[in-house]
Amino acid sequence: MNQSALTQLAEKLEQSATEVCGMMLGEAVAAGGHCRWPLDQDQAADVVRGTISIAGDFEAEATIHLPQVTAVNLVAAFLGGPVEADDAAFDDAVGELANMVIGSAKSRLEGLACSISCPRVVHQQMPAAPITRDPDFWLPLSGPSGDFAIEVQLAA
Amino acid sequence: MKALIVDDSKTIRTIMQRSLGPLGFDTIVEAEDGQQALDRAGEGLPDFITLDWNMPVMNGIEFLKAYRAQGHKTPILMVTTEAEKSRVVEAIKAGVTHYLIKPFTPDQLKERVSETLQRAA
Repeated sequence: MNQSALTQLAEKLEQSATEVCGMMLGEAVAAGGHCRWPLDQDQAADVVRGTISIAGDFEAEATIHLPQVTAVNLVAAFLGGPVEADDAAFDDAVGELANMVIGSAKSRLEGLACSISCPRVVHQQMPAAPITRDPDFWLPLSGPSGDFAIEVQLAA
Repeated sequence: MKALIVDDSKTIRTIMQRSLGPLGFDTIVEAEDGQQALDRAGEGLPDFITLDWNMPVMNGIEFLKAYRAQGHKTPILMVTTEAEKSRVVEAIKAGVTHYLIKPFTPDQLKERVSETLQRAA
């Protein structure tokens, strides 16, 4: 069940990311760019992550990985002005971006009843935490604010 | 006119504030969850409410049921990523006036606010 649902979710994530960035931020975003798996050491050590848990018929964790520069640009576009990365408004905007992109994709899953958690936002600390598991799905995205990626890990 | 914005995201509350001001709302009050929204409404009933679904402490549907159970007929626009038909039906049964799915453009938000107020008139 989880594997077929993952295929569905993967298809919906690009669509929802494009819509959210276009409608809420005025940014044309498409698949591609340099934020490819595995991230290099610099990318992995300088990233802001917004994670949403999905529960129900399909169980997974979905995370938006935003390199710091991309995050600053996206949040400025979202809020209509610059915000420092250590400002509470910054984390809130990253969390809402994750909520909308992942929540919107979740809502498009056909035949699956799922709920989503509130977002959790983490600023990656140096040195980068060791990667213990490859993602089940990784979508690199690119837009005017920079490159970023969405990862999905199926529940163990 | 007084509006109450209920959303756990400060970002969304800021976007809502920007859009509602030009629509004639001279007083805008914010709440981070359903419980806080009940408290704010108790301090003075709003003329219009925008309501998120997924929030900590008390979610949008729980707020909606509690608020309507108090007999209030305030027009309520639910603004959420929850787009499944079953969710929309659940919200309507609980007493929501209108529904807007995130993401949305500023024009879509303004249009839906106007429609919500018209439906309640």
